[in-house]
Amino acid sequence: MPEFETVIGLEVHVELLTNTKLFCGCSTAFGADPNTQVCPFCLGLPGGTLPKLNEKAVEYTIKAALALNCSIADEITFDRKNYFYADLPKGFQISQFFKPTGRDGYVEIHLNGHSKKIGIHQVHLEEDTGKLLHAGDDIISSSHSRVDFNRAGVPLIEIVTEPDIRSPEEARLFLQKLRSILRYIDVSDCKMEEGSMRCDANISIRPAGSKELKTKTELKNMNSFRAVYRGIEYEVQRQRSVVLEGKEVIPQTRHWDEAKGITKAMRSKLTSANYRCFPDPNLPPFKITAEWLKEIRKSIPELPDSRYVRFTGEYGLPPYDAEILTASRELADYYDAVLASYHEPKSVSNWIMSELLRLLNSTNTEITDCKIKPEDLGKLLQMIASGTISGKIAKSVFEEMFATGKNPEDIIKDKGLTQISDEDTISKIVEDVLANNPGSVEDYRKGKNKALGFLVGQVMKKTKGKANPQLANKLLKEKLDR
Amino acid sequence: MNYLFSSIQQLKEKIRNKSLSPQELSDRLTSRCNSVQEKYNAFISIDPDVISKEIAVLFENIEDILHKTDNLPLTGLAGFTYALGDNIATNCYATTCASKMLSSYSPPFDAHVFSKLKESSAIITGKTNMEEFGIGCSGNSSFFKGVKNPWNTKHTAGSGAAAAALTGAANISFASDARGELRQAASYCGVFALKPTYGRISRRGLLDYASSLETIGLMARNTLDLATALAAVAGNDPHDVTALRSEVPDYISLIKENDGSLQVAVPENWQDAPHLEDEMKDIFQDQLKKLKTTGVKVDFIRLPHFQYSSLAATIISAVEAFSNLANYDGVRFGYRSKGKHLQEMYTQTRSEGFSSKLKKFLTFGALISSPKYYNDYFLKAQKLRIVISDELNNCLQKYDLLLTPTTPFKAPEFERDINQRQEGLPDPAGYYTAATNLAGLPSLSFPLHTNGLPYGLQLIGKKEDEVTLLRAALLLEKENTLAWPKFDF
Amino acid sequence: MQVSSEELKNASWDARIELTQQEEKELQEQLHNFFMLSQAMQNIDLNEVEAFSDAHKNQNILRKDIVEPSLPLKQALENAPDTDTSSFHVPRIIEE
Ligand SMILES: [Zn+2]
Repeated sequence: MPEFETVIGLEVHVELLTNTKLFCGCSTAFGADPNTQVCPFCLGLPGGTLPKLNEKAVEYTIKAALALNCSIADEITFDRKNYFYADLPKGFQISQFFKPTGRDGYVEIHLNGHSKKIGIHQVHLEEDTGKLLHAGDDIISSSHSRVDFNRAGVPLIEIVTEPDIRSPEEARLFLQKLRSILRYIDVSDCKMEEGSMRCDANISIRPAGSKELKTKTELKNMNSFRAVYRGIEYEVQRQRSVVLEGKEVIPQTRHWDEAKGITKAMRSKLTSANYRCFPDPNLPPFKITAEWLKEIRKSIPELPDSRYVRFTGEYGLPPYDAEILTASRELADYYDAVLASYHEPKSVSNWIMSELLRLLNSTNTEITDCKIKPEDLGKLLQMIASGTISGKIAKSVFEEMFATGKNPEDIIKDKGLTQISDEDTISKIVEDVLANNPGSVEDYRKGKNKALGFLVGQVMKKTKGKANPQLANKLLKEKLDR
Repeated sequence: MNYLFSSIQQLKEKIRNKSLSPQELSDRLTSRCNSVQEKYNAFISIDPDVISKEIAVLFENIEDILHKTDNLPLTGLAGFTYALGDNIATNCYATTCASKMLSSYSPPFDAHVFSKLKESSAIITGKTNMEEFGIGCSGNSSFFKGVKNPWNTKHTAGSGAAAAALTGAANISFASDARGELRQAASYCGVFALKPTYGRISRRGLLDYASSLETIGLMARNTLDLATALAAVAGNDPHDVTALRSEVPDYISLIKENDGSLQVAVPENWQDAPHLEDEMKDIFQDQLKKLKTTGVKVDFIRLPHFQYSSLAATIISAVEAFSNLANYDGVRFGYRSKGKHLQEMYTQTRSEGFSSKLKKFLTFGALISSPKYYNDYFLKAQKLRIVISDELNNCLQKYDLLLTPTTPFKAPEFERDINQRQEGLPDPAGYYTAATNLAGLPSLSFPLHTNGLPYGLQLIGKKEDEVTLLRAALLLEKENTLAWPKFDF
Repeated sequence: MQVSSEELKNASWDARIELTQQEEKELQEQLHNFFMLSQAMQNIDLNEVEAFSDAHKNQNILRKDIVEPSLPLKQALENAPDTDTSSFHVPRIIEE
């Protein structure tokens, strides 16, 4: 059976977090009643179609292009992409065709311990379309559709990759990395489920070793990372079967059907639009000044890749820890903040990755809403290290901190949880325990080491867990071995 | 006879000394507009209520107006009547673009010019008829039928705006100009027209078909009225990013400072225009002689690409119209036909809602921008645009003005001439006018009255230099006697 | 240059227009004339010229990202031929 190589390029659309639309002052707030965030411009009303470019949208696009390692154009222009569809109010979409904002960038992904660069062909700014609501069950059976233009004209950036992606897994990793970067720079919330991040895939297969680009299909309607993975996986298999049957892959647009787990061809007449593109005569070109570019560059925080390098290098964290901690800027910021008050990178990482993430997940809380202040977590870890409290008590203190946001000192004081590390006090309790458990003492002396554990347990029980376990252990052994 | 009265001053005096009542003025004005409508089909909307309301405002404010007139450009227009082409958005009137597609469209906003004019105590008499979407001057595409030329009703007026200005149904007519339509119609009707520099008047609220070429311009029966109206509506508009941001000159006082030392250029091959009429040739040469005797220096110069300007403008405007008019899809406004499904509804709506001429024009725009023709025609036209602009700008560095006929021929006759000549690609009427749209330069058409239908003389000025155009027009006004027709209304 | 009927049909479809036979005939005549007149234009060397580079265009005009009032719903819908109380209606999308 011949070996195939998969060739995937992605086109990702991301809604920007601006207050207003790309060319008019209408609000972009999510969830408003239909057609209440529209004006003559974004409805395409005759005589109302003069655009006014949103400064923030341009800034965010430049910021994103920089974060994706693109070179930025000196001058950008806006072009009309002309076609007819019910969700397109003006009969054209204003996009960037001839002079996009960013070109020739890349995103690095980590796969099986290796890193790989996925090329970014271009990053450009464009208008979103309105939304169609189909009467009846779906688009096929509906007698008519309703149109809501609230979303029409919301700024989108489109990120087009080079055909560098070789597997569904790489596609998923790329998207996750892209989301992480765009969230770091705070230009989009990238929620695939809510549609603020959308992904189309151009997929083809070719004999392994071949350099030629074969006929591709365009896959749409994948609304989650899982759907992207499954959709591409299915489409690659489908194309393999087609080729193995000796047939040709037909260039077409296909829809991912999440429920059925298959891809379906869309009717060709809907998709084979003969777009015409030319500069929008109502929008003069825009020059990106060196000063503005410098300012925007300065506003970009440390990105996941540099943090990853710092966390694995400077802090010596394992790649796995570094990957998880740097995936979101907020989590990485939190980690850095804890380290500032308690500089033990690995033990802080352990606590965050096991205890903190567990509680965040089980209570469905975002790290930004976490009540524990980073310095308080640092204090808690400091107290464990100094033996002020035991690890076990620390966990219950931690849970209390998570629920109430109180600092660890107050919780420990209120509940009298300070560890007993005084030799005399523990010594007396040890004497008591030995006197009350002659059987276990006998067992220990016969060589049954398990008995020691039982005796330590008794000491802890008597002190309600507050005895320093190492000290209890040491004193017990001294007295038994005497 | 400039108006219902000998002058605006006389009107204001009559209002002030109460020898004229608002009702009387309102009745006389409405009756004149109705006559002009009945005879020449110049209007699409006339609303007597709006007229009497605006007249009431004028009467109320007359003392204020008389005291402020000298310093404020807006109050300078007080007492003037004006009409707007029906592709300029007005909330109080339907705005139809003379198309079945928009026959009941009421924009939820006013055009920038209309907002300004509303503050001026000028009186709007109505919305004027035009070619559908203001495309060309052929007289055969208005949903409301063509406008008859008041000089000879067998001929087209080019637009209702021109007919209204000629007949005194408005002191000032505002209409659009994408390839010369405003100036051509003014030439056909023998009135003054000014197409200002692109961006001099905000395009907000103009239902344009060719955004990169089209501007709002004005027509009147004398230079001073043009200047007064331009001063009132010119200026930056933060909502139109293509609007000029430079200061608006004080036209009224500047045009009076005329030292008469004009240097004028004429394209040496001006006689190459197709369909150029012999009478026009004679009249144009006459004018050149006249100018020389008044001390104006006239040179013939070479503008090698000027002859392609109408062709380039036709291609560019058709492609822009294809895109600009794509929102006419029967969903959010306007006419809608039936259709089993979405795409069929689009096609039927547009095929029934647009005139035959527009359907062909839009198909031409679609064809010429399709992949097969894009580079050789659309892109080439865009490049020619740059070359022609450079040529004009270079020439205007050495000369104050460029002079040509406005149109090669006088107003075409409805039955006889509505054919290839009117719907031509390019439109031969735009031979001289289209270049200034490509270059965004200001241009003025000066009326030349003859025994029969009038002609026009086109003056082209430097970017933003409307002042020189107006000065030259004042000079021409002194040299030429205008024989206005007499009307019995 | 001869434009085929097929080519013209595709172009008119792209503009969502259906020409009558008469209109198609008239347009063909206009096109014949157009291509004849354009021949001279085709011979002009314009390789060095950059299209869309008009010097008279303004530059760098941006709007602050501040919300401005939208249209009241009633006004947004009032010019539309087919609506309910909140949305525009279009006929079915699928063509069968
Ligand atoms: Zn809007």
